[in-house]
Amino acid sequence: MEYFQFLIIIIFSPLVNGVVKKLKATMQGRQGPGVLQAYYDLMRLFKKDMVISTVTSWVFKATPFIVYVASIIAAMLVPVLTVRPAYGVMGDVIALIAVFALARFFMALAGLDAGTAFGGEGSSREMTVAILVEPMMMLALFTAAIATGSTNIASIAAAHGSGYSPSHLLALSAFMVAIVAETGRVPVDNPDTHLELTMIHEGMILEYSGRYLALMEWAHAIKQMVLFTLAVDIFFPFGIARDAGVEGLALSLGVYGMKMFGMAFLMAAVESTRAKVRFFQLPSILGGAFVLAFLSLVTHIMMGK
Amino acid sequence: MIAILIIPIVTAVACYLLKNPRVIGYVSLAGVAALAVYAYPTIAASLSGPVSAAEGAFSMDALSGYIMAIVLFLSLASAMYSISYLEHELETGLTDLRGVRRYYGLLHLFIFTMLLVTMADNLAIMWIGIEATTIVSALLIGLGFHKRPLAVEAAWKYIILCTVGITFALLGTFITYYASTAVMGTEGALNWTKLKTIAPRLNPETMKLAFIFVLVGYGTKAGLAPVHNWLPDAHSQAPSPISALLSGILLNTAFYGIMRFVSIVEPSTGNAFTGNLLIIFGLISVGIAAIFILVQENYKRLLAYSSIEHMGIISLGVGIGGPIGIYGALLHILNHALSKPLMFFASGKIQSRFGSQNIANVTGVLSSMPLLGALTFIGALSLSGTPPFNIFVSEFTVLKAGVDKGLWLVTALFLFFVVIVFYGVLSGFGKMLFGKPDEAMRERLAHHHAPGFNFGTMLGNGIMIFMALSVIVMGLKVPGFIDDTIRTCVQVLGVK
Amino acid sequence: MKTWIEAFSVIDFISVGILLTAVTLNAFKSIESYVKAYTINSWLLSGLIAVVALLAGETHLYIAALLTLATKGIIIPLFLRRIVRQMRVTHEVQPYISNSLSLAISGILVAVVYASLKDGIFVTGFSKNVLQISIAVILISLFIMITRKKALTLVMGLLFMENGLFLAGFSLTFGMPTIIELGVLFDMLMGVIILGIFAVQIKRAFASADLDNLTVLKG
Repeated sequence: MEYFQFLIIIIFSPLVNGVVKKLKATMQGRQGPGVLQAYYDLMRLFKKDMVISTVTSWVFKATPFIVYVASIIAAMLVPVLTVRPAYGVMGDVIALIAVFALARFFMALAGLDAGTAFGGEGSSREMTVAILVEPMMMLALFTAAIATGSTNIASIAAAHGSGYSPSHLLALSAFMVAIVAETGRVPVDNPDTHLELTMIHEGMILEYSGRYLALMEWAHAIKQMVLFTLAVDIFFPFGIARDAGVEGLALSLGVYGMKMFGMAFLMAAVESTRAKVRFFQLPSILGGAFVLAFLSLVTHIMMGK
Repeated sequence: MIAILIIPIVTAVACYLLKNPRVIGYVSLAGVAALAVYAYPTIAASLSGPVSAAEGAFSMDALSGYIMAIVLFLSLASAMYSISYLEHELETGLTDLRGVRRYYGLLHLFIFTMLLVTMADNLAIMWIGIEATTIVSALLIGLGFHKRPLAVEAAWKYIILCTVGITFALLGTFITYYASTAVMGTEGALNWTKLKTIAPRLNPETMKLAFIFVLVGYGTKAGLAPVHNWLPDAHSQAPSPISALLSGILLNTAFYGIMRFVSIVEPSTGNAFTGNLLIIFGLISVGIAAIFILVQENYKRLLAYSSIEHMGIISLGVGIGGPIGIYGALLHILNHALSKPLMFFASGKIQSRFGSQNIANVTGVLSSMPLLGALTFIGALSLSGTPPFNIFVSEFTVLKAGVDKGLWLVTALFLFFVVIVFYGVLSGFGKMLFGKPDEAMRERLAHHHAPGFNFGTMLGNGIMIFMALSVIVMGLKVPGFIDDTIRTCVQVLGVK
Repeated sequence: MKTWIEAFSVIDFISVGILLTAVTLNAFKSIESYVKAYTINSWLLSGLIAVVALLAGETHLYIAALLTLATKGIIIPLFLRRIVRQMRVTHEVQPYISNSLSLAISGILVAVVYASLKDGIFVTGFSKNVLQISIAVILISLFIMITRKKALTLVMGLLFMENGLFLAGFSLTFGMPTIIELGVLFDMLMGVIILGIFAVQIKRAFASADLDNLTVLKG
């Protein structure tokens, strides 16, 4: 079973995206699209023809596949229902971040490749944000790793005790900010518009259409769900199955669903209550989160818990 | 003994409630005089042995008595001088009735807080007293801020810097409490009378940390460099009688706090630690003050830097230690408290006559105002450390203590700086005293008809003359009763 | 209740909260946020004292918690708010360095304090971590004081420093006798009120609350 748990992420990730959108709409007093809309969108895009600029190189064509495969590898690294390690030594937080970095690198290249102004702009902004977010994520994860003595996500989830310490809470807050930034949500980026002055992620994939766009969107949804899963694995691993027994897995599935809904709710709440900040103020916010992560690490070292 | 604290408060309230500026001045004088008369037996008793009151909340020994006597004497002097000073301010429209009432009310509160410091047995209550002096005196400095924006600036710097500093002193007090509760439990764990008896058993590492915090904290208040920056501003912008109090006794009460801690910390850490720190702070203060005195263009600021120098010398005396060093330091406290207020009183008169604090704008004081000029001259000679004036005697005592201990480098540096100060002070005041008043000033002075007989002015001049006389007498020979008092203090501090 | 406090390490959470409110000062732009952070900080401080009182079962600590709440948690914030409204300086605090840099530096400050006091020179009363945190708070507030331009931010820095100091005091000694607490708090209250008055006067005298204007007196 543990070999196939990543399929849950791949299949349900558009659903999570749809749930966030629906919740957001409800909070803002709108009707909003149905939760399955994301699937319809993907299907529509897969059917459509592609328009590819003649000036692009192979990078542009290869990127959707690289990004998509990277997302699937990332999904394979995180334990979803059971903490039994699926693929031996794999499942390392550092590997996970490296895989994300690879996807981001190619996405930024593709953004530049088409030679349009917005693509380059998006790429440059994405990398700026990444510089701030990646170390912060690493620090937050290191705190959890030091606490449990392992960088393997499954071990971290398995070793997590019942109690919380201040350093945990600090790391969690920093990690939440990191998720918001990584998934391109509101205080950092707006996933719903293509407003040229502000877009980051949308800027990079602006030139894509049809199947490629579908792959990119799907990969992004998978990345988002992987991050959600990572957060709950590391900070709230209650109810996750310790072996491959059927009852345990069923319970784990139910709990996992609720946790995902909780994360979606949180994201929707953040997006509905915050306003997008100017790009030049981002370093201030992300820097603050970075200090949170840093404090969590030093606090952990000081308090020993 | 409690009444010593009540009298100034009653006087403060009375001064604030009265409506006639002349009456307020004399009520204030009467209040301080009554206070001095009432406190005399207590001070006398404290010199022969410790006295305590209010179930040991207050307690005085010879050192407290000595400092309290200086506080009371200068309060009296300041109250006498204030009468004519404020009358002049009122005439020229620099202040109004409200200002006068506030001034006297705060003046007595200020006296109250300083008395509290000298009487407190508990180190935390002493801290409360020292912090209260900051608050009250900041208001006194910033008084009448509507007309003098610079006073606001000075008061702001003063209160911010001193509050930060004093917060460190509170931390030091906390740490001392921590160390003493470990030895004797919480009962009376901050009373210096009890702490002195258990001092050798306190944890030396903890006490070292506590002393550093306390030295920085109270050192800020006492005007020790390099945390002295507030002092020249505050002293130059405050009303002259207040400058006199700030310089003459406020700095000393803060230093009294340091001395109390020294007597507790020393038995635990050994005197090399406290002594070296005090010597370093003292030398830096004297050095920095010497440089700034040399280039100073404002005579009130020059006096302020001279205060830093003298606080440095006191710190040096305590740091060098030994009976002679402590004796010199204590004598220096008194000598400085006589000469500096005299100079501030005189400079207040000069400022009101010439309308400037700039040395370059003042010439020929001696020829145009012989009495004031003579008093200023005596004060300047004394402050610069010219023999045979009083400050020379105590500086020499400190120097002798250094030589006896074989601290050659310290002594050499000290001598070098003192020589610079000697030149700086005398050249600064020499420019003001000698020569002829320039044309415009002579016209103004001629215009300025001397007011007829005025009791307030007479009181002010009287106290200045008295102070000048005591400066001379103290220089020729330290009177027997003062000598005895200081010797008792040295014994009480447990210096061998 | 006591086991509950220990099991969830409430003291650690509160003290880290106190540190966090001090660190957030570096990120804030408006003076009102400073006042809010200070209010939270004071409430946390008083909560911590109350928790310690519960653990130690000492009456004078309950009184100290109440006093702290009354002065630092209610009176001073209300007063500060009035001053802010009176001065109409609601906007920028105008730091000399950028917020990100200031955040980074305060993070480093915390790390340095933790590292240098790691073994703990003191076996403290109720938690071995609180002293480090309080020293960190004191240093951060000093840092705030030297890098911000407005008069009121200086006052805020001072207030945070005092809170840090109280924290240190409690972690060292379980608090001073009540009468002394009272005196210290009263002194601080008066100090803040007078600083507030002077801040308003600076604004009036120099037509701005920038401390850059206060450079006439020097040398």
